[in-house]
Amino acid sequence: MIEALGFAGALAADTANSPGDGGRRWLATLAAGHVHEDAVGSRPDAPSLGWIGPRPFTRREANALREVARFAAAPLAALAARATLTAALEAYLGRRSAARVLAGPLRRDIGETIQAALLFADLRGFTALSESNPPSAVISALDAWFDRIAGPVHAFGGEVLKFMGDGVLAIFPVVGGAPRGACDAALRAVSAARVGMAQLDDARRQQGLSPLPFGVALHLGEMLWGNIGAADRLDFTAIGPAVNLVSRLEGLCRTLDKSVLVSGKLAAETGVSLIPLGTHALRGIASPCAVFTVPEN
Amino acid sequence: MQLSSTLAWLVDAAAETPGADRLLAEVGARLVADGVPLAGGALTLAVPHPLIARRTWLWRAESGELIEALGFAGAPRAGN
Repeated sequence: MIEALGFAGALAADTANSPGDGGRRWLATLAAGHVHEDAVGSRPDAPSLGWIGPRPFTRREANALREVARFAAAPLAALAARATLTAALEAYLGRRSAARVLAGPLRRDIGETIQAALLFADLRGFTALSESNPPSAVISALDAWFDRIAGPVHAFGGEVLKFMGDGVLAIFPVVGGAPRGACDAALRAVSAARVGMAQLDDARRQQGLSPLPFGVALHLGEMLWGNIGAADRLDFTAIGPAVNLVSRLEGLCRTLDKSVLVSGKLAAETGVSLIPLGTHALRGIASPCAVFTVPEN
Repeated sequence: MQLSSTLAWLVDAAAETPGADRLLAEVGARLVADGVPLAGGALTLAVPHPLIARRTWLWRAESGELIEALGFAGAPRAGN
């Protein structure tokens, strides 16, 4: 959109300058007048409101714009408070969960049953890594791993529900009752994550660091999604047999020496070519699970 | 030029606007209606976000178009 409207040049250097610079530069390209800009409030990070006209504003018009900035302070503060709450919830819960928390009652409930392709991933040997490296190196490795798994999840329409230690639980909700789109998206995300991890491992080797082997499992199923917890301390999370299964399936990665495992249920819904690995019992899961993997690159 | 309608809207109704983008467009349109000759407006807000430092909304008076530009926070840490 920015490119299409020809605004990109005026905004390109926005990050390096003062808060209103990008808007000020864009306004200056729009008309012949001078940019009139007011800070809305006195804080260093106060909002800024800028205007431009086809000719320089008269003193009376400029005074009127200053009045508008003054009167805009209260509504902008209300909007900023709402935006802060939303941004904080999205950062910690993910976009969909944040929207649910904001829209729903702030109390325990039985939640909503949704169907989704589930992704569970974790690093292999993370305990050993964390015991043999300083905390800062461990956190750096974790951040790099999470970037390379969460980035593709979000890029392909999924959402990270939880980071648990070095583990990640993500979902690709089924839309419109047809699971294929969600299953294909989950497989594409895994494919992209593998490429990202290969590049990360190359970079780590060049720095004399050990690679970060990982396992990922994919499954298709239903789960309960909602407020769970103590009466006064809630967690917005997902539970159900499908969540248990995908976690157990990921645990099979090491046994089968594969970095990616896919349940038969998800494999049946995708057009992606997968390699069958037989039927396996999973700890705590009543029925054996047909297991597939993806072709090695 | 009579600004009372713009200021009255800011006092009475602007806080209920769904987002800053709509607030900018509403204020801009009301200013034009009040007789202020505007070609465009820009509103920049700092936001608490892991990646984004500030959001700027740009409004074109002629077409009513709104676009958003993001200012990003610092570069990723070295070694990642």
